[in-house]
Amino acid sequence: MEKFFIEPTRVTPLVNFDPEEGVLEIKGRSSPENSILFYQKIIDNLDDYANNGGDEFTANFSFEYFNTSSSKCLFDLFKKLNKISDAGKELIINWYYEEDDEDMMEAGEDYADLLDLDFNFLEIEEF
Amino acid sequence: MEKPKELYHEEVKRLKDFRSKLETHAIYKQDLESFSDEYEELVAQAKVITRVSDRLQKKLDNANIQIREQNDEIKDKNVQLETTISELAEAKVGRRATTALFFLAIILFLAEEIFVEDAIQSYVGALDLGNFLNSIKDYFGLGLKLLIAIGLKFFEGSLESFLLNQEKRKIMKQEQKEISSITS
Repeated sequence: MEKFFIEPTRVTPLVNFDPEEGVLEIKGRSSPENSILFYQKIIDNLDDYANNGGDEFTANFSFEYFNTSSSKCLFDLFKKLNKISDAGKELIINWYYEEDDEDMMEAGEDYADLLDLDFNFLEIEEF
Repeated sequence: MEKPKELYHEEVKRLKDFRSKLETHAIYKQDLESFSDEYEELVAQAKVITRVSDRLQKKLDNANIQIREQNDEIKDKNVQLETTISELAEAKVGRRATTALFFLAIILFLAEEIFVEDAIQSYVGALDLGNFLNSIKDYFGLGLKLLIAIGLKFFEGSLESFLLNQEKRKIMKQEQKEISSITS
């Protein structure tokens, strides 16, 4: 489990993972050709956090767009967040979406419903 | 080095495990229950992923439509802009040609008045052209001025098209310079 930061690109989002602070931030657009290659490190670190991490964890998501394979990876990522919650740790998930972007808000709702997770839906003017 | 995982590696692994159990006939009701639970979860997952993807595809489609509309609008504006620019260039060139011609006309009329008029008068005055032509020979100078004026009018048209071509070449050169600075 290590702290890491990934700069955003045209097809990948910004990622900031800090296990000491118990924070994960993913922000931007996600449409890489090989999504699992990008998300595997985050998923593995979350799995590690569920087993060996602190008592609190906050995940912030601010997506403009993500493609189908990224949505599958996000699903796997949320399952790991569920594991953190099941391990008795306090979990906060903030799902940010741009003003009037109901599609993105509903995408968050779909994940929350399927995995039975509590999402805080936060509307912001612009990313 | 670890082999990169595929997108559905967990699900594929479970399927392989189940198939190997099937092949060895070491399968129990519990295995079947667990496999059907996993299958149910996979179906639910597929439903959500499809729904989310369709939703975001719709968002992308709307963005594309918006971009297309904006592109059409930009194209229309560009056509309008090009028309306005060429109109402005023509007006500018027209003004320049008129000014040049005005000075040329002054020079020609002065030259005609100072140098040519006297020569014509003395030459025509010495000639005997018959009764009718003798009566109008005082107007020969005026006729020459008229010819100069008509000639200038034709010259104005040629000068205008020459200046316009020059202006167009200048604009093209400038645009090429801008394009090459963007692409380099």
